[in-house]
Amino acid sequence: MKNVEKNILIKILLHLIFLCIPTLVATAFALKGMNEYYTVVNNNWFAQTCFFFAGIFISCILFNFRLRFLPITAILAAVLIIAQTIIANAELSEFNTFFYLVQFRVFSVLFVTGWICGWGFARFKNFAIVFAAIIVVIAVFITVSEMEFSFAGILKTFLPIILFAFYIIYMSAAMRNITTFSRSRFLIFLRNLLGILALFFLLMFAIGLLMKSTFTDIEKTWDKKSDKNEFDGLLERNQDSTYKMKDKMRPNPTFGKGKDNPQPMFVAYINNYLDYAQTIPSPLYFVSHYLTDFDTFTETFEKDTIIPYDDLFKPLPAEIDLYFSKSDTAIMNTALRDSLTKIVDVDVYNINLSPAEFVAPLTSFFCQPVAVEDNYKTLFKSAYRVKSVVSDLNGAYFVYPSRDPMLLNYQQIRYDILASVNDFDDLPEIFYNYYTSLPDNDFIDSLKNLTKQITSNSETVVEKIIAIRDYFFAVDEFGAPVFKYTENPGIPGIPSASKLAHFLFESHKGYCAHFAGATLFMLRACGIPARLTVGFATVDRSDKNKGWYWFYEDQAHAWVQIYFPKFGWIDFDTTIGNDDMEESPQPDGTPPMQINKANFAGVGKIISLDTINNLIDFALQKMTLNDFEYIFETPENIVLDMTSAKILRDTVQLKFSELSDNDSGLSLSFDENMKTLQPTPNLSQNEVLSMLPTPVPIDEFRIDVDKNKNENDKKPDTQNTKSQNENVNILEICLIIIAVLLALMLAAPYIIFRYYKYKSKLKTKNANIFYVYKAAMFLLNQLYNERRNLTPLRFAADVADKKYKTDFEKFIIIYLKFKYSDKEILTDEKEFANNFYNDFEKKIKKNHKKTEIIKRFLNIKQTIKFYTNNYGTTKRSY
Amino acid sequence: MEQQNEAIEKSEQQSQTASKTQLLIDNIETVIKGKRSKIEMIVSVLLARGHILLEDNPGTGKTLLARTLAQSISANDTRSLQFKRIQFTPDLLPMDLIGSHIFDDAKKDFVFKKGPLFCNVLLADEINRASPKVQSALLESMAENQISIGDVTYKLQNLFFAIATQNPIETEGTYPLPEAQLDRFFMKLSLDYVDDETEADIYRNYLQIDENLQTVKQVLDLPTVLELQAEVDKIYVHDEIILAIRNIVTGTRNDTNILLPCSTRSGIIFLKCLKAFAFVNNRTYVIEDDIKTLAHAVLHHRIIFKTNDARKKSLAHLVDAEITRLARLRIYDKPYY
Repeated sequence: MKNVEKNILIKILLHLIFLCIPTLVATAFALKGMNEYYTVVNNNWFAQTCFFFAGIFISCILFNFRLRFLPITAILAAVLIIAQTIIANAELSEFNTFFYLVQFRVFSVLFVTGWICGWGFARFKNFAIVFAAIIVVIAVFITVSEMEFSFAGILKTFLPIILFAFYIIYMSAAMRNITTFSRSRFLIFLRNLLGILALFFLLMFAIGLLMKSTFTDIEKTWDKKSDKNEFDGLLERNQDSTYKMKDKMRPNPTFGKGKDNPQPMFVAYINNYLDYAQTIPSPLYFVSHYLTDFDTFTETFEKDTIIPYDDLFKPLPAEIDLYFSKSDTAIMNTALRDSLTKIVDVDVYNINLSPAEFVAPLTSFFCQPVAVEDNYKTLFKSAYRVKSVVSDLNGAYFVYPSRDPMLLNYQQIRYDILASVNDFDDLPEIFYNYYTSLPDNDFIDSLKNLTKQITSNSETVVEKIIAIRDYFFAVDEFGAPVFKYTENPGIPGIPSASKLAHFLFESHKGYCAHFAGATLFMLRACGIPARLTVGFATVDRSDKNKGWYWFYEDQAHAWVQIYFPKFGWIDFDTTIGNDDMEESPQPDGTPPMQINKANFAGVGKIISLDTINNLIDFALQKMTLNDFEYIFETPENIVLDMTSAKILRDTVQLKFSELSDNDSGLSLSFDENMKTLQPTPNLSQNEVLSMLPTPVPIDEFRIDVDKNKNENDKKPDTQNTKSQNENVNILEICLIIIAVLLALMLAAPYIIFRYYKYKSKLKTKNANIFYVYKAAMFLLNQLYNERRNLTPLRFAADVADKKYKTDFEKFIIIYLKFKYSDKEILTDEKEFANNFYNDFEKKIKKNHKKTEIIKRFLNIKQTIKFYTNNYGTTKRSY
Repeated sequence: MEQQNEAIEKSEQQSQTASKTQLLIDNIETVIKGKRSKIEMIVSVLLARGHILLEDNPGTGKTLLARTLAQSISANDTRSLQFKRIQFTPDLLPMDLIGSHIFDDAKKDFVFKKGPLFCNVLLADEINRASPKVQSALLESMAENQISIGDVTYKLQNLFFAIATQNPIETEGTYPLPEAQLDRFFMKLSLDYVDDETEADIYRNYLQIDENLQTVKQVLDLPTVLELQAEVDKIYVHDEIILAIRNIVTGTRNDTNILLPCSTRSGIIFLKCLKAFAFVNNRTYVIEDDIKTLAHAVLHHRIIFKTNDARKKSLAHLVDAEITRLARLRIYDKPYY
């Protein structure tokens, strides 16, 4: 009795050391991770681990003694429920009650989980397998939904989980086998454990080494396809790996921007300098579009369909012919009505932006696609010129505190000018209401109170704005900033709570969406018209190439624009400096040459070719002459001089002789003489045509590549499907290999059986009686599933013959005689042995159902037993 | 063909001699019920020219078995075996065993009066009750098959078979045999209680059994036994079996849980027992099952174990490993066709 108790104590000790403590460590890590991510569990991982430990510890001890699960767990449940009711009814303030309830629930869930784990380890035979499976499934789920697919990430999250799962399964199986405890056994057990762990690491290491390249490939393809979270980042990646600004933005727990290697998006030259110091370039933010609609429920900023006094100019550069332009004079005129405005030229060289994307500084009204210099064609996909009405007051330096005296001066000047704006009375009511509307909920109420506090000392509009700016840029008494930029601000304690409220009142951590969203509502709370803008922040990294700016993926940004009557929209960015972004390691590249300005551009069709004089009869459909555009209802015939023309189809240069009739295309002239031809708006089309020289000197002729274009469009698709196919192929091969292995494993017993049977029928000189013996023993091994460790003779006599009424004993005696005797076996014995097997198999199979035979022949475990079986017996027999 | 005929002839002759042992065993079984395997082993020891130690509780049939065995092969004519029984007690002297010189009035000389040791079958009851002096006298005679008294050495009979019994529980007033002396016994056997069925059977038929005991037939005579012993020497032992014996014996030497491993002599004794056991089982060759059946009885009492756990398992593990090896073994050295 004492011995039994000792055994139980040792068993408990082993369970605690080898099962519970590793589980506890794993749980502690998981809880720590969860604490960083979910605020429900709120930075208390140590206490939570203790709860879990209490659960697993108590139940492991209780259930190792033979206590019943149900009654004890029922008592536990009752205790928990009573405790909860007490807490719920306790005389506490409502918030405290809620807080304690949440805490209590976290505690109960952890305790009960620990409890069930302890019970499972102590009692439930296959618990470890179930437990490990659940853990792995959860890990896979989290990885797929939350994580970036990267080799290192997989290694970091999966390896420990798999190791743990593996360990738990192995360990609990090993535990079950320990019935008595002795020192030597324990040492063997430890040795096995260490050996298996070493083997595991070796295996993983080898797999890691071998598969790394494959993994990175998969990583890449995965990366391309992944559109996991539509609110991750501000940019979305298209199938052809170009980028586009998203139409929606939400202050999310993760931004998903923090990539190691941000892609360059575009390069721009802004011909804008400070008006009083023309040497200092004034960078401008690039607007993509405005998110003027707000979904209160999901806290999502969205594009509105109808916007009063819409001033967004959004052409598609790809749809405009080269050197032809699209402009919106209404926008230009409205914008130009404001004082201190000028028209600024901007050149945008697209690298990775989608052709459907158009970005330009506020307020753009003109877009003209231009050709990219030949030398830069590989780097830049396309280029366009933009004209924007820019206020002298606008600029990226609007808010950032700067020590540059010139900029300080500029900011002061601007402040002084804007101080004159005191009211918005003159604004149209629809406009003012649209841009100052606020949702109606608790968060906005508290935000209004906060704004009132912040701006209590401010009189003018601009003072209020500066007060709001200062609120976000404030530092605490130690000089550390109150608000911090982070791309993973986490989610608030109550999942449904406002993320903006969480940002503004609790965590003070967020990224641009949080800052811009909060600023927008604070401004509107002051009655200042403002709107949320997404686009690209301009970073002036070096003054090597003045006016040139490079834009990377991580510069995608959201900020606020404020409307000042008489001065128009002004960019206002309160996102606190993200050090990473400003110190972006991405260098500015070498900017391309200034854009070739074509004096003449004509779209039309070749009517006939004069190969001797290099002349073309050209049916002109559309023409632009020094920025004046003309469209001809009926094509006008002109003669083009192709002597010095470069003929291009897509990017391939052709010879003149390769041109043919009916080729339609675009002819360009950069000729200086053409520059003198200055049409005026009053001239009719015919008058302008007559101004053209005959023949018109052409410098470049681009053949339309519509047909080729279609082919090109298809290409990426086929490539895509190809890479998909490759993936499918890899998957297929893997599946086939697994299936074959599985089939082989299942078929192995039967194959081995057939092999022995085949060998037993061969009349070779070498003993085939051995194979008769093997086949018979194997058949019995598969069909007679009881554990046996008898010698063949005893097994035949005591088990097989009794159950199946066979003559197996007789055969075994003959076999043993053959095996050990110095004499030949007798003729009749040989005859018996030769005819023995068929009859034997029939008799045995008669005793089992067909389905049972098939089932048992699929049992590889039994086959393994055949080769590991001990034929002696450990029992004493004398 | 001729060879085969010869083989048949030989096997017939074999079965004739073997049937004699069967006859002997059957004869013993008329009195001792339900212990055939034990009887086979005891007969094996007899044929292997060894001695046996029976250790068990009183009333399990030790003495009965020894007596029946002796009676089956002895009668009162000169050709038969002589059976003697000595009850060992603490005050027993070697003289009582060996015999002593007594003065013969007629011859006027000291004449050696032979003690009970000069017999063919000796039942030494409760051997551990006697003093070590007596024990060693018995054991010497067992080992050397001769007795030295003063300067005269007396040879024992050609057939000398000692059956010693001892009681395991009673330790008071006993002198446990040291391992070195236990080594002289080929086997140490425990008879055990019979199974329930046989137990009832014995009660039902005790009168019959008693009668059988009174009228035990003599089925073998001394020359036959000697002949059988010679027959046993001819039993073939395959080399793999020899290797298995070697492996078991050396295995005990490599086992850290064993203080005193098996000696080479014990290996030889094991081999002798295996041969005799195969013969008793009507075979001309030794098989793996023989090793399993005999290993414990032959080897276990010669080994000193360090722990109780090892006492239970060490030897069995060694034997199991060898049996497993033999059972899987494919012997290539002879053709089947």
